Amino acid sequence: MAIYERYSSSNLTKYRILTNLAQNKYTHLNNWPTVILNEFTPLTQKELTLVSRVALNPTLRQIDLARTLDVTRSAVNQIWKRLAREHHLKVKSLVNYGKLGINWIFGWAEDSTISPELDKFVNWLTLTPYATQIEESIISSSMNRVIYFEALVPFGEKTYQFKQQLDRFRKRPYDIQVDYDHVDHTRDALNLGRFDGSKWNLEDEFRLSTIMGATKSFVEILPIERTLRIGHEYAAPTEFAIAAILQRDYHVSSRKLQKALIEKFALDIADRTLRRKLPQIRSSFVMPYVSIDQIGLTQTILFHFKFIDDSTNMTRFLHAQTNMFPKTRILFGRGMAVLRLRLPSNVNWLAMTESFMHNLKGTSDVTACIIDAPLLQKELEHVYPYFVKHSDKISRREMM
Amino acid sequence: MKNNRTHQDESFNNSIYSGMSIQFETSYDNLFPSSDDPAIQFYIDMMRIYLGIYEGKINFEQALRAVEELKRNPEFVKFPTNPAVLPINEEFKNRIIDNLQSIQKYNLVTVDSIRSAYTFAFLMQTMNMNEVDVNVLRYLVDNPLAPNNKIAREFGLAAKTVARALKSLRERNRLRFTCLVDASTFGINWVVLFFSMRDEAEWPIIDTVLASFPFTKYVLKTAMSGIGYASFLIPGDKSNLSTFLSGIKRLTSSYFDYCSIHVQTAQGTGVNMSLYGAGAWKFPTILHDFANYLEIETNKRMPMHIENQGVIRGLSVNDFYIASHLKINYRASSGEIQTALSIHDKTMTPVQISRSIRKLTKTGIVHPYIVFTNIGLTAHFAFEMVCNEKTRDMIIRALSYTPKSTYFVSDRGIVAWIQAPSEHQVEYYKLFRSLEQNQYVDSMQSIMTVTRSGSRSMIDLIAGWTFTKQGWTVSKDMLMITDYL
Repeated sequence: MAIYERYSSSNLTKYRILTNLAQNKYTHLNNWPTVILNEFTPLTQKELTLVSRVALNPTLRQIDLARTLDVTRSAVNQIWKRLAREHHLKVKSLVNYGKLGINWIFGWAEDSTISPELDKFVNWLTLTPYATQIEESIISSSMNRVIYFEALVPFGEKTYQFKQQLDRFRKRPYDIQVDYDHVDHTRDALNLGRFDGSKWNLEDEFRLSTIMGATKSFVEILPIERTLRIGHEYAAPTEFAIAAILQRDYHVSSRKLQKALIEKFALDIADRTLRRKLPQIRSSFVMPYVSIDQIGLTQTILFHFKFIDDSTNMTRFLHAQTNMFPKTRILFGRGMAVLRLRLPSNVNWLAMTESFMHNLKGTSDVTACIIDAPLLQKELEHVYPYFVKHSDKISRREMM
Repeated sequence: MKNNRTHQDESFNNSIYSGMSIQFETSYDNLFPSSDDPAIQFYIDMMRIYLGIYEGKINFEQALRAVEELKRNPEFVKFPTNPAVLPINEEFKNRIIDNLQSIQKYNLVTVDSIRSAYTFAFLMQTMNMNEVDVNVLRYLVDNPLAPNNKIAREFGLAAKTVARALKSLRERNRLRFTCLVDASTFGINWVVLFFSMRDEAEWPIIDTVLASFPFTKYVLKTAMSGIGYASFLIPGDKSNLSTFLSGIKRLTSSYFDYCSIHVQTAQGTGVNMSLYGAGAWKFPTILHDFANYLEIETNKRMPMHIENQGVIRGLSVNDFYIASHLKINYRASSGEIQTALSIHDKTMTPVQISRSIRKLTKTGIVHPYIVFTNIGLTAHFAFEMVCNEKTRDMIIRALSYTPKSTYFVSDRGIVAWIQAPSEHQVEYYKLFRSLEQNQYVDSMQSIMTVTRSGSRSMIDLIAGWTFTKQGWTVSKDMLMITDYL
């Protein structure tokens, strides 16, 4: 099996073909398929210190980091560049789609492994302009085939139609299990406390299960912190476009932003205006998080929690679990949550699933799966044309 | 032994547990919670037996007797285990203690947590092996009966070095000498049932039925999916088998969405150590061709494959007992087997035991091989495939290329258990799962589990059986499984 390793410099992108039998993950960046290698490049102590600091507070710029770490800015810049090159280090943004007039819908469809109905579902999703993420399971804990999806749908009639279509697949002749919800809040976290630069020292399966069980006994007082609560407002196309650029690069400069707005959205906005708007949009529309690869987190596991009981305690419980794992992203709806974990390959995901199931018996149904490269992955900039073209001028009453 | 008593929560006490007739104390009794739940007590007893052996508070024979008593607990069918045959070492002991301390700290006394405290203490962690250990293991895979001096000569080592390697492999990798037994020679039909539960059916009902049915060897159903399987030893002729199968069919209509029965005609097992080197496993690229074309060349080292011979005249009950004990420890001395037999009130002299072993070997009833763990094969799959004979044979050839596999052949297809390294779990799963789309595979089910635990031994099941010239048999009315609803 051939894989590609991506090298990037300021002007040129090169590819080198390697033969490797490891599992590969793909993402689309600048329209080129980029393979994130399974190979692990250890971090030096300085690199680990820098990344750890950024993970604690991704809003820190390089100058702030230099001050905090008591080193020169050029030293930080050098380390950052190396990390960006070798580990694709970047501070990206979670976007508060709700403040842009968008409903962020996430869902989980499941059926037997050979399911023409599920194929039809995937085909429909792929063709709808609103789907932004479609991922298929390779193995799931239920031994079924699972499709995870996200969609960004304008408020109002479009949302109603989209949900109607989803409901259609629950009934005959499809009869697929489809669960979906609106994202109410979300969180992305990187925890490097158990990483020494070359090895992850995670809790063993039993201790993990016990700590999970113990957490339940004081769940009411567990904090919910550093989450992005999805709002319900409208925004102008400018805010929309700027949020789309920040989604890829939280620390984008006003100059680069100006250039990107022209290239991608044909929006020509003065640099002075952008310098004024950027802090506003950073504080109101997005929340930064750290994105980094090749630190030994080679498994991506998705957990689906379908709440049976009151969701408040479940939410707190799941928030607490995100502090236990290296890299997590969790989406919460009112009736379900999806937790995305990136883990070292030696972590037994099945044992972890059993731990969740044992600890959440009676309060939530749990399914987990290992996922493959996404079937579809779009960002805000890809759906921008549909929203600008099709945006409905409707009253707040019709938002949902 | 130092007493580790500390401040205790109310639910934890240091009273001696009286669930077993054998009474003994360990230094860690204060860590054990008290509970009226028989399932919790089962795992507590198993841990106490292990710690008792470790501290020398009970001997091996007492431990075996204690385990025999615990086998009456229905929990044993769900999790057949015998701490008396596990390696007794400080690492496992410490892990049990750590887990119990965690339970005490968080006051988490549930069946799941206590079960996990026991099972996770022995859960496979990959142990680093040195070159000598690996070479000895490789040699034993192909030559399970090789004496130490022969292994030493093969590698130019001292016999002491080989003995040390074996000790290390026993303790760290749970190396065990066992055998495949052709149970059909004793008039026993081995049946595997793969099932998936109907949505409206209640698993606890079926779980209880299977656990209390006296012919159930093993049950597995994960909480994660509705799929499970159970294996049974059904003594007697075709009409006994037919009675049992009709009972299963009756259960199907009420409880199972999918039900697939396999009556064993052959079995096999194999390890492919050629894939292992420098502490890691390679993926056999030849298997990619298999997935694409369902063709694969015969491996030079095929797994050990045994066809059922059917009843062999001239076998005795004692031969059966010997075969069962050889399965537990093929290298057991005549003296050790004598001790084990005495627990079942069987008396045989060492000469009689040796004669029986020779008979069992010569007639092809027992086939020795080795089992071991902690070598990085942490993904466990079971695949049930209904297919034609040609496809089944091709699957057996493919299995020979996997790191570790065991299989069960029937006229309808094959059930295969595969162990793979976690970094290749996706490849192996996809590969075998893709067979579902092959025109010669009628159906396929798969299960993935955290561990592959043992099953009830043959001796555990023979209460109420009668041994005749045609082997074991029972009265038909014992075989109707629906009577246990």
